This record gives sequence, structure tokens and C-alpha cells, in this order.
Amino acid sequence: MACHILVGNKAGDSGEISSVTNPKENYTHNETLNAWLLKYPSRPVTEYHRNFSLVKVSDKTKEDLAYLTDPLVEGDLISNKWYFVSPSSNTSEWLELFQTGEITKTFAEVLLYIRERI
Amino acid sequence: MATEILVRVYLDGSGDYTNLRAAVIAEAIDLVAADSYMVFELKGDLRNTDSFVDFNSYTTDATRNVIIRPIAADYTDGIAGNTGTIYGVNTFLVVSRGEHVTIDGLDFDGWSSDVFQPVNTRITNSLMYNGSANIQGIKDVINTICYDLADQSVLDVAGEVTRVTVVNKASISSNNFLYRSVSGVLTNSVGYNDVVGATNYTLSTNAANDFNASNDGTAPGTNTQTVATTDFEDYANNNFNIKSTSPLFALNVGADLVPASSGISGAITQNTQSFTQSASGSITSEPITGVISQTASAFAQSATGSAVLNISGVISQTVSAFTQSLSGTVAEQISGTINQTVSSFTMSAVGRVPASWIDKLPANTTWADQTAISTIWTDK
Repeated sequence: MACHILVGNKAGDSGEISSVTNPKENYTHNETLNAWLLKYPSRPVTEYHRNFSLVKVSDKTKEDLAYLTDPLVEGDLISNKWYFVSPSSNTSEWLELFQTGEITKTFAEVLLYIRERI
Repeated sequence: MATEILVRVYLDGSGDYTNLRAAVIAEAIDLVAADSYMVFELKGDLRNTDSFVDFNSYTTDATRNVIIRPIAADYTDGIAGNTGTIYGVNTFLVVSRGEHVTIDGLDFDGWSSDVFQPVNTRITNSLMYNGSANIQGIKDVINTICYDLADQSVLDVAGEVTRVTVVNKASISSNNFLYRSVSGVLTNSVGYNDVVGATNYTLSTNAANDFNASNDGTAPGTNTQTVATTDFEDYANNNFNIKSTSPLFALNVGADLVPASSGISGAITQNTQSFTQSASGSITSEPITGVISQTASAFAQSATGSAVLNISGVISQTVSAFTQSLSGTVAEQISGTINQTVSSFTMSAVGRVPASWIDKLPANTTWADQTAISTIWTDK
């Protein structure tokens, strides 16, 4: 029982949830740091785009967390109902995400960084 | 001319992304400023991975637009799941936000909300099914089969509804199908339903509506037709392509997603040196919705019947024979322009030309030319 959450890092998209999927290992160089390193083993990590962070939830399924991709519709406005906030830069979570681009946690631990738009 | 930006969304990880929503977010761009159009090419079963795809950060116009389509080999043939690529979303069919977004050739299985801000959204050559919401308010729907949609199915299309087949056999819809295309022009389309009390066409009053078919006598226009289950390839198994033996087929009524030929997946077989000189590598391996094959000896020697009709690049060449037959740009289907400089064009293009292309022929095209092309088109 596990699932993956791809979280945007780009300006204007930081913290937005891009996808909730079943665990998979075939991410591309545009999605995760591991895939990027496999494709460009000789490039310095500083060139990595950091488009996304990968959050691996160890105790929930894709179906359990599908609601995290729900939209919030208010008239002509639409946004993502749920989003992530970044860990503080002095935390081990932040360091792990910075160094590896991904992190594995239980949902209870992940939930501390999820917010709901109302 | 706008250049193509190809973004490959392949579930198996061999492309640029494995998820369309992530790709759309990461590739956000002002396509007008970049003088480009962007193709999101899908491969694999990509259903239920996206809540919705949002083009919030894109700037587009009619030619510098976004196209979402499968790989060439997986263009839908009108049978659900019959090709390897299927797409579907959990909420909005697409969040276009008024941007120019075209869904082309997709096997599209399921959505639960209409297109968000849909005025410049187009659906072409696609199979749309199991949507629990409408296809509403978009610009155009062309050569597309829709079945088992909810509510009013296809309605309020502002531009054209051409060769669209809408079928309801699962009683999901509570009402009509090709409904209220008041502002748009409804031609060569088919509405069929099995629901007692439902109506195929309602408030479809545009004076230009013509050559539509129904099973309840509601088809609008002068040349109305009647459709029965026997007109479809396999009604029982949800293949709603019009049979080639049906009278509707000869009239170009109803969607036809059957590939015009088999065994061609975008490759162009070159048999003689003259074609090498003429194509210059600018014919892309785009989806095949028709075949240019003809009998004029000059072209027959050069192409051997395997040039793709749905071409996003420029056909440019140097040998005189081909120059005489086709000059100009055949762009993304229907939005392109055919510049005909000499009368031999009708001799050179034999195949399924989208109906709207006829309208785009140059002003100097004679009526005889148009008739010839139209006739050829019906020949498939």
C-alpha cells in the first residue's frame, strides 16, 4: 500500500499537486532528480531544473488520496483545493528533498505539509 | 510559420513526462511570443491520472496553439480501447481558460465536468465516451464519435459541428444529443438514441445546417437523412463508424475514424530519387487520416501513395512536377490553407480531405475543382 505525489516547485506553481499515482519507477528526467541523474550522469546537479518534488506516501493508495487533486471552483475561478507548503529549510525533510528531490513518509507525516484552500 | 514544440507524455517513461498534467505545468509557455505551437503527444493508458489539465499559464492564438493527441499509431479508430493510448480525467474534460486547445485523435474515456472556459477548444477525429458531463460551449467538434455522455451531450458549439456522431444507448443521458447548436453550423452529423422521450436535435436552427441524420426525424437542414443501427459498423459492440455500404457514408454523413489505409504509421516510403528531391524531410510522421495517392504520372513516380494527409509541416519541394501539383502549407488539420497555383491540384490529391478544407481552397479555385475534390473525398 503506497502512492506517489508529484508536487510542483516552479514559481507560480510551488506546492501545487501535479499528480497522485500508483508507485512507479519510470519517471522521466523532467520529473524527478533520480531520472535526471540517470539521463545526465555527467552533469552537475546544479543544472537540475527542480520542477517537481516526489513525495512517496508509504501507507495510502492512490485511491485513498485521489481527493488531493480535486479542483476548487468559485464561479469563473478554478484552483487546486489542496496544496503543499514547503518544510522549513532547517528541517531534515527540506534537506532530504533538496538533496534527493524526493522523500518517503507516512501520510500522517505528510499531512503536516498539506493545506486546504477554502 | 509557427514551429512545433513536441512534448511526449509516455506512460512507459520513454518520453519527456509520464503524466500530462505535470507536463502541462512544467512546459507552460507563451506560444504566441515563441511563435510556436505545442503538441502533447500521449502514449499508453493515461486514464484517471489527472484530475484536470489546466492551461492557466499559456498564451495561444489560432495557429500558435496547443494540440493534445496520441502517437500516430494510436489515433483512435472509433473503437474504445482498440489502440494503445487512452486518456481520461477525473473532473474537467480540460481547463482551457479560453486558450486555443485542440484534442485530436484521442480515445477519451471519461470526465465529469464540461470544458472550463471552452470558447477556443476544439475536438477533432476523436472518440469521446463515458463522460458524465457535456461537451458544451466549445468552438468546433469535427469527425468525432460521442457515446454514452450525460445530460445534453453536445451543445452550444459556436463554430462547426461537422461529421459528428452522437449515440446514446446506455440511457445515461436524460435528454437530447446534438442539442442547441444554435450559433454554430451543424452539418453531416448523426444523432441516434434509444431513450424513449429523448430527442436527437433540439433548437438546432442555424439556416446553414444540412445533411444531418437522426432516428427520430429531428435532424435539421434541407437534406435530412435517417439513420438506423444497421448504418453503424457494429452497433451492439459500440463501433459507431458509418459502414462504407451505408448510404450515409456516400454522403459523408457521420464520423469516420477508420484509418483510410492500413500498414502506414507515418513512414513515407521513398522509391525514387525524385521524391527525395521533392520532400526535403518536411513531411512528418503525423496521424494518418487520409492518403494522398493519385494517378498523375509525375507524382505517382515520386510518392507511391504514402504521404500523410494530416501534416503539420510544410510540403516544400523543388522538382517541377510536384511544384505544379501542390504548393503551400498543409497545416494542422482544417486550420491550414491550401494554396493552389495551378489547375492540376485536383489530379494530385486523392483521399479523404476534411470537409472544411474545401472552404479553404484559394479564391481562384473553380467550382469544377471543388466538386472534383468533394467527390474524391467521398470515394475515400
